[in-house]
Amino acid sequence: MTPATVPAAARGDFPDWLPPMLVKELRQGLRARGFVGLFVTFHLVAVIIFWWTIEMNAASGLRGTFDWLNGLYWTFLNLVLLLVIPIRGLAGLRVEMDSRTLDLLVLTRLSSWRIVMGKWVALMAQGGLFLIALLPYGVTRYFFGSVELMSDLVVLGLIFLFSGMLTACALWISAMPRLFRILMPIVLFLLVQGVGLASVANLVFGGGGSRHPFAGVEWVQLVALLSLTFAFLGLAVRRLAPPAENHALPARSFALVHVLGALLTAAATGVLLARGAVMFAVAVVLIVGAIEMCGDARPMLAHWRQVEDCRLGRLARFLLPGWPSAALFVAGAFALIAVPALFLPDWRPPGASGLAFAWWFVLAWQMLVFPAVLLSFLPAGSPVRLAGTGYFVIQALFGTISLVSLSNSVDFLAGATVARSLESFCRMLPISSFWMSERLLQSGFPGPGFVGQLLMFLLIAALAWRRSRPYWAEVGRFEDRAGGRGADPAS
Amino acid sequence: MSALVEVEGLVRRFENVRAVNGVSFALPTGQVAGLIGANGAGKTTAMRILATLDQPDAGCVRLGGVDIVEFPGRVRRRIGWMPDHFAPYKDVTVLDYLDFFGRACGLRGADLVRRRTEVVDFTEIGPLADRMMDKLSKGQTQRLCLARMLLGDPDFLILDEPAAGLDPKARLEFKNLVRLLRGQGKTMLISSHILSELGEMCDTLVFMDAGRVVHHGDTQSLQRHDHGSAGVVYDIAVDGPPAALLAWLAVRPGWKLVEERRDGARAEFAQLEPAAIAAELRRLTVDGVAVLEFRRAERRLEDAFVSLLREGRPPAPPGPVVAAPAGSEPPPLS
Repeated sequence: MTPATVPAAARGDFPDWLPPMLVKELRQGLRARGFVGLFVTFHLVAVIIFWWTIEMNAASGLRGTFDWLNGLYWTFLNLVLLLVIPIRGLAGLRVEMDSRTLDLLVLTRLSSWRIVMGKWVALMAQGGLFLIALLPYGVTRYFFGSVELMSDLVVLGLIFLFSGMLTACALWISAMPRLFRILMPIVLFLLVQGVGLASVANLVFGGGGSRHPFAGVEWVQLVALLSLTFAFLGLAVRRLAPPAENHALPARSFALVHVLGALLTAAATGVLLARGAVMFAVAVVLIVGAIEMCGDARPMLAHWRQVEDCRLGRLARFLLPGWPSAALFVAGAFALIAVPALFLPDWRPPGASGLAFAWWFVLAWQMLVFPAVLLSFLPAGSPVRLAGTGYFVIQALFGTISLVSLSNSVDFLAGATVARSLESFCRMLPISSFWMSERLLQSGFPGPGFVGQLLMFLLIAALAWRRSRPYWAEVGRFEDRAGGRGADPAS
Repeated sequence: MSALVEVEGLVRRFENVRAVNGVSFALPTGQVAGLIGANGAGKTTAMRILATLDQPDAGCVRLGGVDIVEFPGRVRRRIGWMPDHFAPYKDVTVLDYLDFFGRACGLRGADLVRRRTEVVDFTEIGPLADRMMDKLSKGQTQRLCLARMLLGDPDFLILDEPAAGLDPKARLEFKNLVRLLRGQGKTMLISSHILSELGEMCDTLVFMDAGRVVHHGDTQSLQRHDHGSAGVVYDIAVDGPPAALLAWLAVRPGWKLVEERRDGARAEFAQLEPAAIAAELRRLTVDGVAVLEFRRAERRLEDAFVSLLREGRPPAPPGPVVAAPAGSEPPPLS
């Protein structure tokens, strides 16, 4: 075949400016029968319903027609953005995994991040296409008046962001084992039902839509949505990345950005946002910490090299995959928050003393580390340790114990010996001691069960140190080797 | 010739199983090597490690002097990987597929068009350019996969069972492509279960069993070398029924019948000296056997593989001995 017979793509054409994964996904996605069929059907149905609504409701006056159109407009929008696009995401990475093309992608210059981001952006672009396609119907509503452009745009933007978060979550689910892929969409659906659709329905039908948009965009909600989207994308990346890629680095950098952002926000705004920002950062560190500690990762020289490229010196030890490094990182992140909070009451929950708040962080650290230490006694490759199952089972087990204990401590059992004994016992246990520590913050320091908690903390810290010694020995070897850099052909 | 690929003491464990157990070999630049082994011998695991898709528990792999375990990102663009199986994308044409992988390899604009045209010409998939990937035959898909692999112009190609499932014509075409690639100086590691084809395509063969390399050498030496045999095997063809020949072999000292054939027999002679063999041939004709053909048998690779497996297996641990059924063979080749 001569070069002339190959259909020549325009040289330097538009796709050259876009990431390859995005180009491929858009070409594939827009060509798919599912998308084309949905797009055409959607317009047909929308045109018929809108025409029918205007005709049939003409008698009831403009007000009734507007409510109908408004309701239909938002229903269509939510169906597409909060249901159809995330559902398409459920096939996202699964397609690559089932067809075994991930290996082929990994050997190109595409990183796991670029693969996942390409898929996510392509899905959101398809959502955006639907959004633009809906504009004529939105414009129709203007014919009847009483539409506020800015509030509509704010609502649209929030729905789009929520759709982005759900789609990122769907991509993560698509890379999960079969059982999770069945269970998680159900949870996702309930979440959408409970939070997304309900709030939007309330907004649209209950309050009259455009006339009562969100009173004001809460920046914390916005940051939370973006953070969750990033977190889900990060989780999806982990599922398909080759073992030599260090994903602790971006995940922990993400948590660290939140901590530093919270510290700056708290310092700048004082009592206004300090507590919210600090607690949000704590939540991010807890989530990232749990994800980082549940894995079965072992340190590799390739991981070390990636961190070393950031020229962090010994700080690189905070950014390696594996629970020992994660335990170190969480301790550091908590210390960054807890130490200033000792002296700044605005940063603490109301009524909590500085020492009580600091001890609360110690319990949080212990809660995160305990399951990892326990699982380290199991042989490597044990099914319980795989995919973090064992970690979260232990967390759930001890969390349930604390819930049972709390339910036994309600008023009608107050004073009962059994309930008090159970509560005292649970105050000492790792994990449940953290969940029950709310009263600690209020009752000052040292709170009830402090001695037991201290003993438990010392035991877990000692075990963590003992069990992580081979890990740190291996990392030490990497440091020695990296110090020599004899094997690095680039140096 | 300097070694492009050096593998030293490679170990990969899965729970308690050592899938790859101390594998070492080297491939000089431009050499085509075949990787042979039964199911579960560790071929694919070793190949995946070489392709930087898996991490070894111990050992070292260097590509052009760069440690691929330590610096996987630096060598990936030099490696071409063809898996034993992959499903095509839906709603993607052949050209779009190559376009995507070309971009993923960092090619843009005129460079992308030029390189894409080159690989399309080389693999002769031009007429399929606008066809959907999932409508291609197995042979066409393999050629597309090869084209995809060549887009980044890698110098080390790893092909896992590339000829599996291909019809004879597609297999022949594929063999020709491998020859052309060898002509371009590409270093290749190919695994296949069709050993005769590997023999034709490869300069050297690496035999693996239970995660270990049991043989590494060129095809001819393997075919000539009689592993585990005291003598040399000969193919003898006679005029008419072979009864006289079989009777002669049964009584003649030093001879052992290996295989009875319609036109003669395959037999093993205990002595290696040419003079002794010449004397035996003279005696055979003197004794009235109408010999049409008498030649040293070239061992098939399959036979060599089987005998290597028998030789390479460690002795059975002490304990109750279970006799293998007569004529039992090693596990089927993957």
